[in-house]
Amino acid sequence: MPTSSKLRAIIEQTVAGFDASAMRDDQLFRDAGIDSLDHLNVLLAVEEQFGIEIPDEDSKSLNTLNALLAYLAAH
Amino acid sequence: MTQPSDPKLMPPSSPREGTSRVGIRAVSVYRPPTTIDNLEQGARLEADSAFITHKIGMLALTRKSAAEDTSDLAVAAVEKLVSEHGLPLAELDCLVLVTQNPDRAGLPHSSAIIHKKLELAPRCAVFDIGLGCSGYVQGLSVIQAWMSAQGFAHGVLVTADPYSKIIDPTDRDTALLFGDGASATWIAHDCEWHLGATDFGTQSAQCDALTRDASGHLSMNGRAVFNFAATQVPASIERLLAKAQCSLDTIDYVLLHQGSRYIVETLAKRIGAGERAIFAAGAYGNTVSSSIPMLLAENTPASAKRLLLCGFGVGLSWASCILDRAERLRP
Repeated sequence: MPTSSKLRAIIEQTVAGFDASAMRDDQLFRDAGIDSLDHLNVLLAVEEQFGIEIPDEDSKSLNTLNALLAYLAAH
Repeated sequence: MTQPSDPKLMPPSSPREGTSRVGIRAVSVYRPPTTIDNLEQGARLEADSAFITHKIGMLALTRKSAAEDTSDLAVAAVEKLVSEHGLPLAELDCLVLVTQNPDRAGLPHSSAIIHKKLELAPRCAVFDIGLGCSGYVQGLSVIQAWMSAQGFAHGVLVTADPYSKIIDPTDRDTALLFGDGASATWIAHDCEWHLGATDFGTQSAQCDALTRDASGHLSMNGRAVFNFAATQVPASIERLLAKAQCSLDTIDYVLLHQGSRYIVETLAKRIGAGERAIFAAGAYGNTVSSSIPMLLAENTPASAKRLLLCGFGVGLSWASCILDRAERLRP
């Protein structure tokens, strides 16, 4: 079951030196310091962790924890 | 049957006794002296300087002159192989060029143009291989097998793929990555490195992820290429090590295609190579099929005995291999 804390753990495992504990669930990744390459890496880690494929057309909008959680709940 | 009277048409010399395997004897590289300041370019393209420095990792990108074509970069690399390592041009049996940006749209093949510029012997056979970032490792396998089958004694594998010919300077996704350069690898019996196990493959469902668009410019789906590399490279390396019946612990250095600092670091983490995976392209950029031979020539310590090479990219394709120092294989 995807949760905010699981996603934060994935982000911390993926983005070197990043502390995800202070992120708000509605905060844009780029505002939290997750750049475009890290964003790709996080999405790949989410795909691998939850066994899903995120099409390119959906990927750009998955840029907050809330958006990712909603997507995972729907897929 | 009459024998040819022209000495340049005489068959190649026989392989030395007891050394039937050809391998890498020496590698030379050529990079044009002109570079682009990538931070300045990035500022024009509104790219963050910290991102360029720490993620892309390329602070300068080499650029050929307008007067240079692919064959000129290749010739320069081969000439360095002559001056630095004594490559005997007159004795060359073959020359194979890896490029996807040939002179004159590929007709004639650029290796023939190189043959002319270097005044190679008529009996020296040449051809081009149309591969990108996986091209060096695949090219090594091809030239080694061909030379072994034909009894050739001296061959050169050249990589020269100047992407400046096709880059859209306004495309932030591609303009900040690629540099021009070439390499030349002398393949011979008295060699320094032997080619070991290999693993090749193609994920053609995503062949459009790296292509040329309608205007002829390079077009890249960064996400597709990243995901491909992050998943297929570790899988290839796992298969390679199983085939070679060895563990990553036995590998001294991992020479990955220098797509960017970020992809090298991501792959190093995923395969557990740590600092053995070298990133060294910061001063010249992603030179496509020349990136791995540049590492081999310039960044591989003399103490290294076993290397793992992996090129990946256009196709989307991958090619991995193990190189063993020749002395390691002596009884």
